[in-house]
Amino acid sequence: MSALVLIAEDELIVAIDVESIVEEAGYRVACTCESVASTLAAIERLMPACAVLDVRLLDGEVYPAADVLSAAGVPLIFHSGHADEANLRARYPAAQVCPKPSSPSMLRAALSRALG
Amino acid sequence: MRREDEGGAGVETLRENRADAVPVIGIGASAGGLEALREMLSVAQLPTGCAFVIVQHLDPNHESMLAQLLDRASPLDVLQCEGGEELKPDRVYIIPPGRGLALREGRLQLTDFAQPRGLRRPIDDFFISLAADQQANAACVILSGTGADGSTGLRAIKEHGGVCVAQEPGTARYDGMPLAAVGTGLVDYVKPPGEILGCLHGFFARRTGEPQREAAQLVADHIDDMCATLRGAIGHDFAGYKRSTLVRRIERRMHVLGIDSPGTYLQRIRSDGEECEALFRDLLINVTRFLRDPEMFEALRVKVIEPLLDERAAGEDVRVWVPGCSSGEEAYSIAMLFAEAARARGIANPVQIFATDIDEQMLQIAREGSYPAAALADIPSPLRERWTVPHGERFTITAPIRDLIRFSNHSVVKDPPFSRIDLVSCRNLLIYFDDALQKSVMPILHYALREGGYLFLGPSESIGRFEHLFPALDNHAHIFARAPGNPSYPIDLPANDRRDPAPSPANSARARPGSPRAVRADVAIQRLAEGYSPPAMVVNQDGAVLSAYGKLSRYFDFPVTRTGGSNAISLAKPGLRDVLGPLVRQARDTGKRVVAREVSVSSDYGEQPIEVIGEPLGEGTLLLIFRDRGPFRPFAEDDLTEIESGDDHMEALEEELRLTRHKLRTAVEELETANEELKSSNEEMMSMNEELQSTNEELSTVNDELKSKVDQLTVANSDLRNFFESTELAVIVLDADLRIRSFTEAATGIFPLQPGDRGRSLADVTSRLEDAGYLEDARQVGESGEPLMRRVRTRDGKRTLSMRVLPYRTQHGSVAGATLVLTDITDALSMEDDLATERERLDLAIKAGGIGVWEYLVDSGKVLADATNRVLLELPAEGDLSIDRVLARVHPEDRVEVEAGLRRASVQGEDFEAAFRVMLADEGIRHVKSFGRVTSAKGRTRIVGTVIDITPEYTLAETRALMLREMNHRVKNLFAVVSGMVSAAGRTHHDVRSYSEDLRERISALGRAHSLAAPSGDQPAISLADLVETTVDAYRGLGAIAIEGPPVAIARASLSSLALILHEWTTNAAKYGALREGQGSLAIRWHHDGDALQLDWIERGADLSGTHEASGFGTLLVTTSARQLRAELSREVEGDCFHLAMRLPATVVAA
Repeated sequence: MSALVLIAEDELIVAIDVESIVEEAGYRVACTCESVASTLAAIERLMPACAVLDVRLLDGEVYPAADVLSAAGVPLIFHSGHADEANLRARYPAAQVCPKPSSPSMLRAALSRALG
Repeated sequence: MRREDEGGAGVETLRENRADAVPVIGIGASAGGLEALREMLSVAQLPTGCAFVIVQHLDPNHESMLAQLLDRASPLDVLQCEGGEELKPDRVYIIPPGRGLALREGRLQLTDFAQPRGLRRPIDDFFISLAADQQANAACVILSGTGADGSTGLRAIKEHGGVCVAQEPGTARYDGMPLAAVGTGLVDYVKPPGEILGCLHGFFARRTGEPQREAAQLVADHIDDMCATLRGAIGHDFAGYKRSTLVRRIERRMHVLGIDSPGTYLQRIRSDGEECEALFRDLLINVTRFLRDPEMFEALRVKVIEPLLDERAAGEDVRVWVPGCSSGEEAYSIAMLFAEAARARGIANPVQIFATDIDEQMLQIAREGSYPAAALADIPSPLRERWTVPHGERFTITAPIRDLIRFSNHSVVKDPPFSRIDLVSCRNLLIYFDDALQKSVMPILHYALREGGYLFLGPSESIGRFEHLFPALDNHAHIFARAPGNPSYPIDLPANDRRDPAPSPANSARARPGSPRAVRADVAIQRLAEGYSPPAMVVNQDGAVLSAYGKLSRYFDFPVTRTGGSNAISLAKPGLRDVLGPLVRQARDTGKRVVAREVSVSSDYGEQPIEVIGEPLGEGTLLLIFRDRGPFRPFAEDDLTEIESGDDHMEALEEELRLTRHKLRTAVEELETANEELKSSNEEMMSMNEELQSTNEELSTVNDELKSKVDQLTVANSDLRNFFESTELAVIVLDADLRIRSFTEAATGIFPLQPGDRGRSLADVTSRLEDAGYLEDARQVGESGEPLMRRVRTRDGKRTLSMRVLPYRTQHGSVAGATLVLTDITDALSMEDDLATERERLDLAIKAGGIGVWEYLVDSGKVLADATNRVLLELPAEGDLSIDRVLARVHPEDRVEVEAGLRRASVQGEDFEAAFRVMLADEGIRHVKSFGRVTSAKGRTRIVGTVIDITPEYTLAETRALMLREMNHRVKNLFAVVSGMVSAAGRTHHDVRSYSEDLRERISALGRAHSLAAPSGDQPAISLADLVETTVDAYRGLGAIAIEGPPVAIARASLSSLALILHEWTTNAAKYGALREGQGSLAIRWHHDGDALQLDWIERGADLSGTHEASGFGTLLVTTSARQLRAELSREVEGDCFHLAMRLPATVVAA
């Protein structure tokens, strides 16, 4: 049973791309969420093994969901064009940051580090 | 050292009565003198008949202004002496600075000071020359001053019969000199300055008002009575003193008292004990000093003092007698010499000194041993250091020296002498005695001295006819040794009564009834014996003459001096000589009266028959009486010749020699007396140094101050003149009558004044001013004393002037006129206008710019802020502000930086620049920027600055930064999207060409869709029609495309997805549907359906078989996009109609 990965990404094409990267890497996509609210709802239903999060979602920044995930010990991979990488690292020291646009290999490496 | 009577007779005869002479009044003054001189001379009433000479201590380095100052104050002509002036009445001559002054034969002479500055005594010097030159015609006045200059000089004035006046010490600014003068006891009048002239005038008027010679004669007539009165009152007999001097002194006293008649004066001294004392003091004027004639004292030390110490028997005292010691200087001098010699020998000083005088007052001074410091100059420094103790202006003789001397009241003439004396120092005493008194004193001195003792006389005194008693030891120093042997002359002390040594004046005024009568009896008998009895003499049994009465010269040949043998037998003339021997023998032997008759006495010219009676008087003495028994029988002519050629020739020569010698001696004595006079004057001049020194120093100080004041005044005056000439201010000074006193150069621009206009009334002068109101103004100010100010215009109206009228205040504060000050303010006024305009502009700028202005006073911590500043910082609109209060408004995070900036500015002077936040009351934040610059004025540091609100700019900048971040984000996002599309398409395409074509089309579609969004990026909505148009635009040539629908705005977030769906549908239509090969038509319609938006995509007329079958990447994109949009898609094919429907939720539509 391969690990479930949650994706939070509001950009459609990017979401598709990440989904395929995740699946090609041998994991399952638990859910692809485009908003904070849907992310929180998804977590409520099923806690993933890992989460690839864009910072800015349709209804705001992803932090409330990231906090819940972080608290639950879920490894986080921030996949974001958001400039404030330092802020992210300060807030979630354990998280990995893959700035957009990041290559599929980078994402794969991050996923394998998080789930390996 | 002591004169019991001063004033040489020789000098006196030189110029006795100059009835026409102008009295010369010497005035000595020092510190505070100017005031006293002014007061004294201002009351002068012309003609005074006197000439005045002022000797003031002056600073030698400065010109003196005394003459100008006094000339103004006095009606007399005042001039500074230049030397050689002949004294004229009603003139005042003033000593020039740096020179001394002397008077010779009525002419003033400038002298150079022999002493260094500080030791000079110009007042004494001048008084002494004045006294010597003018005698009784001289007067001296001593005014305010420190020190004691003048005190010695006044003594000289008195010696020569002049009059002395001292300023009343209480009225003197500096009472040192007047007190010293009064202290000498010689001052005739003590008066306030204003009364001195009157007093002197009275004195000289009395003098010149009477026929002098006659008065002198009158006084001479009374002099015996006066001497008797004095003797009765004081106990001292002046009968043996030089007559002329006595007469002069008594006359002077009479003038001082204003008594004309000697008889009245006699009455006065008979009844007035105090006047007796005063006369006594006047008669005993003293001049004395330490070690007078130093070279003589040196001889005394070597030839007398040291031998006395060396040769005395062990344990024996050396006894010294100083008769006429006066105030003791001579006695102390000798005591110090002895003490010094004994110290050098390391032995105890064995000397005992008896110092005597008849003046108790002087003795009192002598006993105290305290003298003015000026006298220190006479004492050589080793003696001075060892034997004197200075006390400020005086010094005292040390106790060891004082203990050596016993001062007592004793008259050398009258009282029994001391005996067994080793040294008698009797200097300058004898010369004031007349011959008879001198003759009686010498044997007394001889008696007093032990054998081999020494006599030390003054430089002009001689031993006279007593060489055999006192052989000279040192002729030059006037030291004599006492010859051995008893005196062969009786010591004839006056047989009068002894009296108390120090009688009180009251006692002395009492008469003694017995004594005058006894005196008269003696005189009667003497007179009887000399005039009315036959000549007689008393001889002893050997014929030696014991006394003689009457005219014996006819019978005896007496030698002129008493030094020859005195045997009556040997002295008898031929004829008598033969008889006298047997007669004496017979009378002696028989003890009975014996007579020798018919004795013929031969003389040079004839024979005299006489008889001689010898009568034994007991004790081996015999009275011889000679009686003429007939007329004188002259020799015949022949006999005369005969006798002349005989033995008598030798005797005649001898007689002549004796006469010549006698004359010579008299001449020598007179010369020496005159010499002594000159010498004493000379010495006194030298004795004044030290007092003058201190006086001079103080005076130079005072003078320096005065000079500096004068200098300052000169500078001030020059400044004022320069100011008047150069100032731009038009100033006109008016006196109380509005006459022009002075004006500045600039004033001539308004009033055409000439230098000669000073003194003219201002009303007579035209002016360029519009109105003449200034005259009234000046008058008003002159009366009220209140200044006023107004503007005036020139007549041509071009210039405006500010006129200030100020009261002219005198030094005493009263108003005497007015000062007009006119200032041209035309330029100032226009400048003021310009300035006001400028200021207005600036204010406007500040207001428009919303600039707040502040000022921080660093020292006091106060802050001044204008209204804008207060508003910006939300400070209270009114009231003082402290820096703390202002800083409290600054955001806490910025406060430290602002404080540091202020500190740097105030300490290092850097400009202050800070941007900070202000916490607003509504919890907002205002960004402000402040700039300040340090200015230092009067040592106080201020920072002046501005503050502006930069909140809008700040916000703008913030927004820009935000947008940049956003853009950055979007670009990155875009990259991610493109990357995503690349990889997603890669998964479905196998043909690279179609893959890249599709990809480019999609990216291009996305790009077009994005270009619909406003460049600013924050446009919330895009028109749906535009989106559709843009999407299908490229395919318009391929078929008929109809687009229809109400205006709908799409939310920006939905743009990409919607664009992708539309793009996929369009490309499908082009590949497989209605747009393929240009056969069909496409209609795109939308309409609102409730909240939702219904979009229909209808393709017709083509072969639609393959339409939208493909389920590749395109389908995935459409599906996913629709999901993202929450759109519902439906698909329907009816024949040649292919219908795609999309129901978009409300969220897609922009609000």
